[in-house]
Amino acid sequence: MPLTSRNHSVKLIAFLTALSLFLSAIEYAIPKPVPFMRLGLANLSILIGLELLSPGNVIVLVLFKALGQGLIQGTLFSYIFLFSLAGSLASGVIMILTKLVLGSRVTLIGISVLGALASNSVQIILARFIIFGESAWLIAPAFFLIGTISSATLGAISEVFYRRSQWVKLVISEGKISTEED
Amino acid sequence: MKIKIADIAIIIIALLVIVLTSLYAYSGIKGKLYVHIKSDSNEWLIPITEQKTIWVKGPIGETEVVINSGSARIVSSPCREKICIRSGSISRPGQWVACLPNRVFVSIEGKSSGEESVDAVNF
Repeated sequence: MPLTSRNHSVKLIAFLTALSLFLSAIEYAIPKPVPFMRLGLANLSILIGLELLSPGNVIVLVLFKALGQGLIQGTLFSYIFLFSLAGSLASGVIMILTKLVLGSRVTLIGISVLGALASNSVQIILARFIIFGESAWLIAPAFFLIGTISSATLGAISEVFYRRSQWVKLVISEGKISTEED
Repeated sequence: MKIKIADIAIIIIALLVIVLTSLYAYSGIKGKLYVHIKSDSNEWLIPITEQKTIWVKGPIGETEVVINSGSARIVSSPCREKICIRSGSISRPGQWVACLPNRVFVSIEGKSSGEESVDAVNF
């Protein structure tokens, strides 16, 4: 449920951005067999944000996440950042739309998988036209497979977290109070 | 936590995408030859059946690689000796031509069906 209070949203965006940076740092510490195999841990904060923030604020969060991730992984001024930003934005938009269209008929698992699909598709298409040419298709199946598995897992974790977290309950009740104060 | 029908539908869509891209990417790879061009800053992998001219940037200028009717060759290069041009065209896997002054390496990759020739050190 999106919260309307401006002050409350700002605090929440700041917190979720910090969470995504923390998770990016953890992910950066995990060795990757090949550079493109990423777990996408930082997307946990986006998924939580999706439930708590308005669509516009989710996009802001996505931009902050991409920027922060670029800073932490040292890719901010390389072409990798372009890939990361495009992927993040695509998945953000798709996840917001899925949430709007399906509402409570879908859980964070489905949203997360669809988001990963969108992000991976955009990145493959970019790779096809910018660097690798036709051979970009060769990594596509592996890329999609890893994306689907990791995003489904992350979606399940986010769903459980969102349902059970005391912090989320606190945020929602605070949001209600501050909305009434406005 | 309950998984909903929409979730399952989305996961099925994702699996379909994986299957379709696998079919697209891996069908016809076997027996297909690729021209692999490598420079200091860039790399290409092009099916040998394509008609293509590629300008490869190197430290001393641009090397022109032409891929035409199942073979690849270097047609012009800014180097002094022009060994790369005189090496002629390559068409079988494992063959290569290189322009060392301009740091360009062209080779054929992939498995051909029985057309491979044995080289001298093969027992």
